[in-house]
Amino acid sequence: MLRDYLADTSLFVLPVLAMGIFMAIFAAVLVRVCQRARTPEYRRMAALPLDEDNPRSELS
Amino acid sequence: MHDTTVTETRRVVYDDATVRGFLWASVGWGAVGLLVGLLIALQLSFPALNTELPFLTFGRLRPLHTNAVIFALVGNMMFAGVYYSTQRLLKTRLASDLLSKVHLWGWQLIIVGAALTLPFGLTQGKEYAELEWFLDLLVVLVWVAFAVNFFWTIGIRNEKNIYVSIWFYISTVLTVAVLYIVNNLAVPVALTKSYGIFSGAQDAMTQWWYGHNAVAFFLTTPILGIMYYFLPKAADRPVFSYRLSVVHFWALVFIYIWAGPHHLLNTALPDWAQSLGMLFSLMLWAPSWGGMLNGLLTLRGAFDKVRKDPVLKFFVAGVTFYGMATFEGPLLSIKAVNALGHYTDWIIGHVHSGALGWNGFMAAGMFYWLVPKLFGTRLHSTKLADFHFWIGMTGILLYTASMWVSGITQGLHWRAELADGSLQYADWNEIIDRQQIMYMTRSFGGFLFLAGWLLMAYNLVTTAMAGRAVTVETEVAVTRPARAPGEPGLARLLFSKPVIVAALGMAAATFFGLPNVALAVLGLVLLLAIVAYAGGMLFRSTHMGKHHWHERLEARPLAFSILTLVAVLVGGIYELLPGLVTEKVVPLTSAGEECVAPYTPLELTGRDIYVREGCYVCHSQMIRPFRSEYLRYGAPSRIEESIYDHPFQWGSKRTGPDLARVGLKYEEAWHWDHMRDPRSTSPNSIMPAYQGLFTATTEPEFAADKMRVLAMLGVPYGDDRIAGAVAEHQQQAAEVVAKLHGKGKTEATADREIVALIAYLLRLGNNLEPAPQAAGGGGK
Repeated sequence: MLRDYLADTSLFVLPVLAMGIFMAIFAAVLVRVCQRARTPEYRRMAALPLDEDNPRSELS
Repeated sequence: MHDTTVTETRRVVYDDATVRGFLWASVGWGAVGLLVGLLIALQLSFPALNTELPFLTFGRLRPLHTNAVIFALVGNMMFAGVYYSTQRLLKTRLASDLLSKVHLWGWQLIIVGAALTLPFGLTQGKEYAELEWFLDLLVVLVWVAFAVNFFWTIGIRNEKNIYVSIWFYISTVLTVAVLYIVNNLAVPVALTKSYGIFSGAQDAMTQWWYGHNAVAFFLTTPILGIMYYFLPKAADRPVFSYRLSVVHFWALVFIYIWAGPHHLLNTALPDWAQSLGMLFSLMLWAPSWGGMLNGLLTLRGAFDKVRKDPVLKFFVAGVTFYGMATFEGPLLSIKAVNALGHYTDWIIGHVHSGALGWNGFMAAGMFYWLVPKLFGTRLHSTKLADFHFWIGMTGILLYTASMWVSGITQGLHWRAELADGSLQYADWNEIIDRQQIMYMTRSFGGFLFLAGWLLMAYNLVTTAMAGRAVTVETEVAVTRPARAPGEPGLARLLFSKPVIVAALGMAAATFFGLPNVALAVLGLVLLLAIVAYAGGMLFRSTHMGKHHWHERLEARPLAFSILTLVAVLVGGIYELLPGLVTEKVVPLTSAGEECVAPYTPLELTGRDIYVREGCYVCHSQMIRPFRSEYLRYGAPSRIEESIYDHPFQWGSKRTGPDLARVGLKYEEAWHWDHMRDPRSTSPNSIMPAYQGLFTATTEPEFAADKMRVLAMLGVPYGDDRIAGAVAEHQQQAAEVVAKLHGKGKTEATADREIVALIAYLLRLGNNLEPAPQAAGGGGK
């Protein structure tokens, strides 16, 4: 059944659909990371490799 | 809900013994891999170096070189970097000392296994996936130990959020597992021989989906994770843009998986797949360069340190080579550029700018930074490390520049035509002759890189001997919910959600790989269920979408891992699914006969000798639809011509000419002379002599066993054909020998391997023409 369906379908729809999904996720990530409100969080995350001398963390 | 928190101090003792083990393994195996690389480079200038020992021929040593550099040098370096940084970033010790040891020693066992099998011709005949089935099983077991240890460590972390390096490691752990399992699905014939379940174009597509993404998720993403940790450490400043790293990660893992078909441009692969591979390769420019710039700009305001610090020198050069290689890759993926560059030394130059420049230099930078810390001392000699940098850099530049010149020269020579439309360089001897100066330059470049590596080994060992192995202890002040659950034990871990979901994900991916529509649908349903579960989990954790979803995601490794797996699988599913579910049909001739017949028992034996000797590393079997290739080799290859090929042998390099239609060009006696002494038929040939094939004997009974397995995989060998395989084998061998005797090769006997190989070579290109309405290759 799947074979018959694929035989009658233009495979072009697959990459177009995938591109759509990718663009949507990419746009969402881009919008998310560009929000200024997250700056303090990013600053803390970026400093993670450097805070070995003062290891303090929050699990809550 | 937890409404109160407590702060407690936890003592952490890092497991750096495992890190040291992987580090020394990388340094040691790396030297071996590079030495073998130098030997095979020299063999292309001095064929006598192939000697008369079969296990020292180019075709057998080249897979050893590539496997050693990828899985031994980079693999061990990657594990050292992953284990060192993961413990520090998660502020916890590796979860299981036992699993760490299983991983460390199991991986070395695999490398020893590769060294003991590849030179002896035990190979699956697929690039970077040559290891036979029993070693593949070992790889999977060791990888599972690594994965469990890694995710378990994440599970017991003392840091809520997972840093971007860990994201890249997660993508590596998951994706390599899926790629390796699917591409290596095989049915054993004996301990030493198996056949992959895919054939022809489907095998090509799966192999390069794997091959390309082995580069992506074994040679790139873990090293990017290492870059995001070690570069800020060495520069003593945070990464330039954490925002950019988020975009870099998601864009890279999603796009990379699609680009595999760019290894098959202008072949008989369906056009839609080729175009897809090209477009996604071009899209890769953006995230790759985003990552490169993020790495380089981390040094903003501190570029003066690069002059003094060899660690930063190696990192900056390594990241720059990453940028150059990831610029060149998409460039070569443009069909028109690929038409010139594919099969030539240009690709070898491209690969080595990545392997030596990116992987080799990042490894060196990390080792120079790590060893003094792991042994509590200072680097033995900064000047020697500086010298290593410059000698290595000179070596890489000589290597890549000579291969560019050689490759572009080859591409232009292959297509050059005279005014009358004939080939200007019809004689392959002439083309080889013009490459030699570049081959010598390449060997010298490789020698310089190896010399630098050995100097590094001396410097690191001397450093270590001046200090002592350090055990690092630290105390972490952890603020946690007052009613936090206890630490998971092994039993609880094995039945935990991450393990169950990961197992289901692997099962789904494996179902896709099997040539069964029902299982493929089941795999798809499983994947959709996992995605729905991850989505629901995220939605709940954000209080029905009210809270920041990516922030929540970063604190939830399971949801993060599922989404990463989905991001990397989407491309693979879209590209592989049509080939898996579409029925394979052999076109008919005008007279109603099938155009392609399965190999005879003798041809099958000969084909396996061809695979065993690694002929595919120098000879393609894929004539592209170009006028110059038509003139040189004959009609373009059609997709159905390799339908029974387990594995496909389209190749990726033409050090020698294409062989897809060589059966139409020469007769038995020519092959006899050529295989015994290639210089006797082609004066400038750099091919090894295969004297061993004239004394080794074939086993006709084994051909019957092979046919039984191939029949299971869909090759139309009936029971009667298999029952008569031995007689058919012997009869065809006698016919070949009779023709050889007729040409004065009176020493030929029917039981020799050379006879089977000649039968196979004569078969190549001898398929029937399809009826006009069925012709066309390409596919939908």
